[in-house]
Amino acid sequence: MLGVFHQILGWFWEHRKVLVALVLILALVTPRPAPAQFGVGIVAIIVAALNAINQALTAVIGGALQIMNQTLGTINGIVSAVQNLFQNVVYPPAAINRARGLVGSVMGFYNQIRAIAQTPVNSATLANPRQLEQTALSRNPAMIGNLGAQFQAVYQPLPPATDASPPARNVIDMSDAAAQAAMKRAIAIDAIADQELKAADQMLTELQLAAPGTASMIGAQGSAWLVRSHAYTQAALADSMRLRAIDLANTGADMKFNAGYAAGTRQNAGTMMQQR
Amino acid sequence: MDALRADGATAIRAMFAGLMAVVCLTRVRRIVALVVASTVLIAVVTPQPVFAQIEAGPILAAVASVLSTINNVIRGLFSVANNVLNQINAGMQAFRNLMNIVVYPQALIASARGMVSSMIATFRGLLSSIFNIRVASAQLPAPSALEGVIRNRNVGDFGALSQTYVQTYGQLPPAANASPMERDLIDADDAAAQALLKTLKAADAASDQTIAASMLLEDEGQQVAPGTADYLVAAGIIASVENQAVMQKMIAAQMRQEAARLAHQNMIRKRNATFGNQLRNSLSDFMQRR
Repeated sequence: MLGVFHQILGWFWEHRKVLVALVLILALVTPRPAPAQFGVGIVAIIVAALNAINQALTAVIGGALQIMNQTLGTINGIVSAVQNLFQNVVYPPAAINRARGLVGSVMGFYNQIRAIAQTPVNSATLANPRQLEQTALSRNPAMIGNLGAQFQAVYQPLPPATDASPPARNVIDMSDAAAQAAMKRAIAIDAIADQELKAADQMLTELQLAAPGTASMIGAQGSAWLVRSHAYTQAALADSMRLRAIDLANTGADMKFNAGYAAGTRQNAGTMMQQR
Repeated sequence: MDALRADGATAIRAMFAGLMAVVCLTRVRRIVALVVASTVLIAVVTPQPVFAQIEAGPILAAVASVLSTINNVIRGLFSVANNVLNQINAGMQAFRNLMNIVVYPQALIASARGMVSSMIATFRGLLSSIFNIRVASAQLPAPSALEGVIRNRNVGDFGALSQTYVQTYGQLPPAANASPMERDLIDADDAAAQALLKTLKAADAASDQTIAASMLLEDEGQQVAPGTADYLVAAGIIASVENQAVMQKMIAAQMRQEAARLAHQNMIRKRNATFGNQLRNSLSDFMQRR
């Protein structure tokens, strides 16, 4: 290894002149680093221009952005204040949860009312009255068709023409019709009331899940049902009043019959006295 | 172009240097002098690097253009944007004032809650005392018992109602004492009356539940937030629907009772017609026999 190194050094020594010439040539022909292609004056101009642009950017854009930043800061403050107002005053989550809980409590009360409304109130003991009562209290409109026959079984049919005068039969028929219609309407009203209770339960269930912004929508639906419900109540009241009107008409008819009977009795008594 | 020219010169110099190196290896001394001289000559004649052809005029014009854009266009745009932001700011400020001062003023929120508390204090106890005034008046044991049952607002003692009703109004007469028609009529009348009394007990109980629900709603009104008041309003409206349903059931019960009364009176007419016809026939037979 050392021998090879000495041989290399020896070779370099023998050819030292050639090597010096080569180094010299290489030093001369190697291209020198070229200077940048701008003169000093141009650089100064460019620097000045950049400074001018920088000043313009700072003055115009920087100033404007600073003002915009302040304005945006103010807007942010206002938005935060409004957000706080809505989150802490108008729609606090605790109040929302409490309101939903309250709806659940109200539902509890009306569940009890529904249970109370369905408590059986029947009392009849005999066969005919029991059947009539079962139908009348059924709350089932499909059973309305049974009521006529059951009514007649308890309250007897219209007397034949041989038993009662035509005016008396008219009054009896009208009174039976009013009484039967009232019983039928009572079944229908009970069924309607059940449906209203069911609808109200559905709305309360939905209200428990509603967002503060949609609670008023449930309220609007409730308002519609309330208006409809008032209409049903008015209709029921009208049926009740119709019944009382027929009752009053019957009282008047009784007085008319009595007057007629009295006149007939007087006439018969007069005729009898004359014959004697 | 300048770059191509520089690359060509470099290549020529490299080729020449290589050629010289080969020659040097063979004829050293003579050629060294020639090479040195040639090198010096090449170094002299090789063109010096030139400066780029950039002048100050176009640079200044471009800078002036940029500055003009900044000062005229961008400044104008920023001015417009700033005006818009100011308008947004004013709008937001107005909205905040609207919410704080007009829509949800703290003082009025507290006032509304205070009004609920005040109304509770003023009316709740008074109404409760009026509502619960005792109206029972019966003196004898059986009517007193019946009166107590029908007014106790309880739906769990319908059996007691039937029992006290019978004690007060008597039992259905046995078949030996009344015709089947009369017994049916009496039973139907009693059933209608008892059904109505039971329904009224149920209505009283429902009324108690309704009052409790209304008090719950009113209590919540003392703490409700403006944004959650809609829950209470909606619950109140829906509760009103249920109240209407209960009222309809009461009216239906009343109708059943009045219908039964009307049917009862009508049946007496029918019976009178039948008895009248029988009486006429009997009298006619009697007169004919005479």
